[in-house]
Amino acid sequence: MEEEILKIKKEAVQQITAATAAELESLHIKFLGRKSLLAQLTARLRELPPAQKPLIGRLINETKRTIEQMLEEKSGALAKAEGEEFDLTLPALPQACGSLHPLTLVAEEIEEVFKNLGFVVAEGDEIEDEDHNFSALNIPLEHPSRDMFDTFYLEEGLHKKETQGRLLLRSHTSPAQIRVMRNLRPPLAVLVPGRVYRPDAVDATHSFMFHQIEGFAVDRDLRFSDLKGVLINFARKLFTAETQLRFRPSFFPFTEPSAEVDISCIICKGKGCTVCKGNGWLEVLGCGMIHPRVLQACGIDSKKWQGYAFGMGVERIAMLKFGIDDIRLFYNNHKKFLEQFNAF
Amino acid sequence: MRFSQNFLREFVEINIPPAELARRLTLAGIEVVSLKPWGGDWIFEAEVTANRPDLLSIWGLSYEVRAILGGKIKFNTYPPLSSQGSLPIYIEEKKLVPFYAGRLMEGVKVERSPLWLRQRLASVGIEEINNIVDITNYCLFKWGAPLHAFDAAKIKGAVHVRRAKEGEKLLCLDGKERTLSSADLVIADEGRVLAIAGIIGGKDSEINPQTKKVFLEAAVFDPLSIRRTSRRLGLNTEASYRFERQVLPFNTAQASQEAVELILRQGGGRLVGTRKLGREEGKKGKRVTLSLARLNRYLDTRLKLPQVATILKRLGCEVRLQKEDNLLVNLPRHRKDLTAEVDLFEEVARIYGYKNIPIRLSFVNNSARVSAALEFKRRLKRISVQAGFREIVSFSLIPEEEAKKLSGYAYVKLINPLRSGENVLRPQLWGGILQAFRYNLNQSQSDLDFFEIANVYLCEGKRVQEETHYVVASVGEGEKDLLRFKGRVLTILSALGIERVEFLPQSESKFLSAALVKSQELSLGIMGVIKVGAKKNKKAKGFIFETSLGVLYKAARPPQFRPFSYLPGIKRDISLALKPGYHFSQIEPKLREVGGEMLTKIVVIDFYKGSNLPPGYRGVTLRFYYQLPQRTLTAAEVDTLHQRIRQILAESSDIILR
Ligand SMILES: [Zn+2]
Repeated sequence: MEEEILKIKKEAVQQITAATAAELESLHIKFLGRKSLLAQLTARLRELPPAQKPLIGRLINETKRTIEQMLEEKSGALAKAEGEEFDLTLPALPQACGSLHPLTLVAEEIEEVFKNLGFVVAEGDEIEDEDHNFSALNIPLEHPSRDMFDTFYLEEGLHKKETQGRLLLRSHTSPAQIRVMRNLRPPLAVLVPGRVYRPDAVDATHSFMFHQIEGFAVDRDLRFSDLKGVLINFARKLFTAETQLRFRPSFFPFTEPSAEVDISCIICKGKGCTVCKGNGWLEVLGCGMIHPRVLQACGIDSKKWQGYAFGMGVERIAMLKFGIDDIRLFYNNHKKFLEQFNAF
Repeated sequence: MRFSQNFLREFVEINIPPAELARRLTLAGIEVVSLKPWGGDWIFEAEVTANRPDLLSIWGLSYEVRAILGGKIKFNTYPPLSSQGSLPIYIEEKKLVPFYAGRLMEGVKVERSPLWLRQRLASVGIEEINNIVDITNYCLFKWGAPLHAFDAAKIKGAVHVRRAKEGEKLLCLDGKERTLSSADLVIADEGRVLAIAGIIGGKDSEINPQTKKVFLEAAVFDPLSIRRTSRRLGLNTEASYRFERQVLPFNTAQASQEAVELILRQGGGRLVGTRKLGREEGKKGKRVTLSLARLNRYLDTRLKLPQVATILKRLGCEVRLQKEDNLLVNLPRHRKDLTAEVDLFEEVARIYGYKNIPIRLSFVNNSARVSAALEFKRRLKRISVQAGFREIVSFSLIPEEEAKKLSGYAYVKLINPLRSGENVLRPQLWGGILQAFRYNLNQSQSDLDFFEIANVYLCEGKRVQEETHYVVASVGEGEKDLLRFKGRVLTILSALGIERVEFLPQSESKFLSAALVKSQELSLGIMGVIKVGAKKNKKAKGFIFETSLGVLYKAARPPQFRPFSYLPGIKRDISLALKPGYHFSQIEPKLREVGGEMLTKIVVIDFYKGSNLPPGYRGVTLRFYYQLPQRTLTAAEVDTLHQRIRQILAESSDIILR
C-alpha cells in the first residue's frame, strides 16, 4: 500500500506541474475527490493489520496535504501568469476632477480674512446709474478726476427700477457701498466683490472686464490707524507674515485722506526685480477715510460717524500670488490653466 | 510732470540727494516714477493726481518741497497787471474766459534762445523753437500757466474770443487741419480763426523768423469747455492738460509779466499795449477752522499745535491760533483742492508721514447681516466642483450678432463699446461656455466639464434687469454622453435637496434637442444639446443646463435624513429600442403608474447600436429596481409586476423589445 501511495504522489506532482488553469479543478477531483485513489485507499485502511494502520493513515494524510498545497501554489502561479497581478509602479490612469477658478479662490481667501474681523459680504448690480457710480461718490460728472473711471454707457432711454442719471456698467464696486450705506444704518463693515468694466484695450495687464473687492466700515470712532490695521492684517494673511506695507498719499474723490498701498515685493523680498520694476514695492490697493461728503450723500451724519474704505483688483492679487504674468489667461479658460488650481 | 532738480533748485532749497528727494516726494503723494541723471542735472518724472494742478508748475512744486524739507522759497512776484494803451480785445463768452490779458510788443527780434533757456526746456523735454516760443514754454513750466504768442502782423483788426462757427477750419501748428464745432472756443480776428483757445495755435499766425510784432495772450479758460474740445478733437497738449485741471489768474498774470520781461530782454523791442480783462485773485484764499482734537482723533495721532501749524505754513497757508485748540487757516490761493477741514487732515497726515500714524486692529461692529443667497452661491460652486466641473470666467460683453442668434431674448446694448466684438450685455451664460469649449477643443483638450455663475442682463421694454445665472455644461458626442451629463446634473440638484426632477421635451431652434427641467411645478431651466462648432472636432456637442440662481435657491432644501430600508431589493433588466423622435417621457408615466411604490428607480445601464435595429432606432438597456420599505419582496411578485411593465413596453408601436 505504501508503494501505491508514493506512486499517486509522484503522478500528482507530474500532472499538477504540467496543468493549465482549466485542468486544475479536475485534478483536484481526481486526487482529492470522494472517488479519488487516495479516498479509496483510506477506505481500505481497515483491511490492514492494526500495526500498519497509523503509519499508512498518516502517510495518506500527508500526501493529501502536499497535493492540496501544490494545487494552491499552482493556482496562484497561474493567476499571476494570467495578469491577476498588481503593479503599483505602472503609470496612473487619469482621474477627472472639478476645480474653482483662481479668481474665486483668491476672492474667497480675501473675503475670509475680513470675515474673521466681522465683515459681511454683499453684492451689488453691475448695471448702475451715474448717481451711484459718480455723484454720490463725490466724483464730478465732467472732470479730469473722471479719467481714471472711464465708463461704458448703456443705450439711451433705458431705465432700471429707480434710475438717477444715465445707465452704465459700473466702473468700480463703490456704487454698492453707496447702496449699502443708504439702506442700512451704521455701524457697518461690508465687503463687496464683483465684476467691473472699463473701456481699456485688452493686453497682458489690462482687460475691459475685471474683478474688484471693495471693503468699507463705518462706526463712531474709526480712525486712519484702523484702516492701516485691517490692511496690514490682510496683506500678511494673504501673502506672508513678513510682508511690509507702504502707505502712499494719493487722490480718490471719495476718500480723504487717501492712500495707495504697496506691499514689499513678494518675489525679491524688496531687493528689486523685474516684477517690482526694481524698486522693491508692488502697488496692490487704494484706500482712505470715507469722505464726509460721501457719508452725507448717504444720509449718514459725518459729525457722528467716521469710516474707511479700500478697494483692490482681484486679478492683480491673483497674478502676484500665483505668479501669473498675463491677465488674459483668466478669461481664456484653457483647461491646462484651470487644472493647475485643483489643489486649492 | 517732468522737472529737473536744477530748475527747481533755483526757487527752493534742496539739501538732500536726488534719490532721497524722489523717495520723500513719493511718500508725500507725488509719486516719482523715474529719476535719471542728465548732464549735471537730474530729471524727475512724477505722477500728479487730478486734484493737484498746482503741481504742474515749478512754482507749485517749490511749495511742496518746502513743506517736505523745510527750506526757503525764492520767488520774485510781479504786482498785478494793469491795462495800458489801446488794444481791441472782445470776449464774447465771458463765462468761459474769466481772465484774459493781451499784450502787444513791437520791434522784436526772433532768433535762437540763449543756452540757459534751451537747457531748461530740454530738461523738461520740450523742443526748442525760437526765443519767443521758448520763453512762453519756459513760463508755462515755471508758473503752470499756458501762454500763446501770435505774429501780430497776421491779426486783422481786433482780437475776438468767441465760439467757432460750425464747420470752421483751422490749420494748426502741428500741420494738421481741424474742423471746429460751435461748442469750441476760439481766438479769432475780424475774419478768421487764429487759434483753438487753450489747446493749440494756428499755423498762419505762428511766430516766424520774420515776425516783428508779437501779441502775447495770457488767459484762463473754462476747464470743462477745454476738456470737451480737447476730447472731441483727440488733441491733448501741455496747455489743454493744464486748462482742464484749472489754471489760476494770478499765475497767468505772473507768467505774462515774466514772459514780456524776458522777450524784451532777449529779443529787444518794446511793449506798446496791455489789455487786461478780469482780475487776479487776492493772496488769501478761503478760511477753514481746524480742530487739533478732531485731527488727532481722525488720524489717531498725538500731534501738537506747533507741529501742525508749521506743516500748514510751509504749504503756504496762513495760520492763526483761535480759542483753545483751534487753528484758523487761510488756504493758499493756489490750492483750490483744499476746501474743508478734512482736506487739511490729509495735508498734515501726508507731510507728517503716513508711516508715522499708528496701527490699530480690532473686531468691527456691524449691523449688516450675512446674505443667505451669497452663501448659497458659494455652496453651489463647491457642489459643482464635487460633481467634477471646472469653474470658468467668461466675458459679460458679447458681439451683437451672437445676441441676435439667441432669438427670444431682448438684449442691452452699449453706446460706447471698445470694439464691436463686445457691444452687447449677454442675455444668457451658455454662449461663454460654448466659446470656452471651442477654444479648448481647438487647443486639443478633452474631457471638458465647465460651469459658471455670473449675471445676465435682460430688457423688458425699456426696463433693464440683471439676474445671476448658473450654467453647467460638458462636451460629448452621443446620447450616452448626454445621459451621463444628465446624471451629474441630477447629482448636483439632489445635493441641493432638489428631488423629483422632470424633463419635458421642448423645441428650441438653437438646440439640437432640449428639455424644460422642472421640479415640483417649478421650472428650473433648460437643458439642451448644441453643436460646439470646433474646427478640430466636428462631432463635438455641448450639453448645457442653465438656470437662474434665484430659482435654484427657491427650490433648494437643506439636507434631511430619511430612513432607508436594509431589506434587499430586486432588479430586472429590459433591453429595448426607441423609434427616432420618440421620447421615453411619453411612456414613463404609465410605467410609474403600474410600478407604484414597488418600482423605486429606473436607470440606463447600457447602450447598443447594431444592424439588427431598424435605421435610426436607439438601443438601450434599462434596469428596474423593485423594493418595499416594510418587507422583503418575493421573486414571484416582482416577476408578475415586471411582466406587466414589459407588456406596456411591448404594446407600444414605437418601442421594440429584445
Ligand atoms: Zn521685486
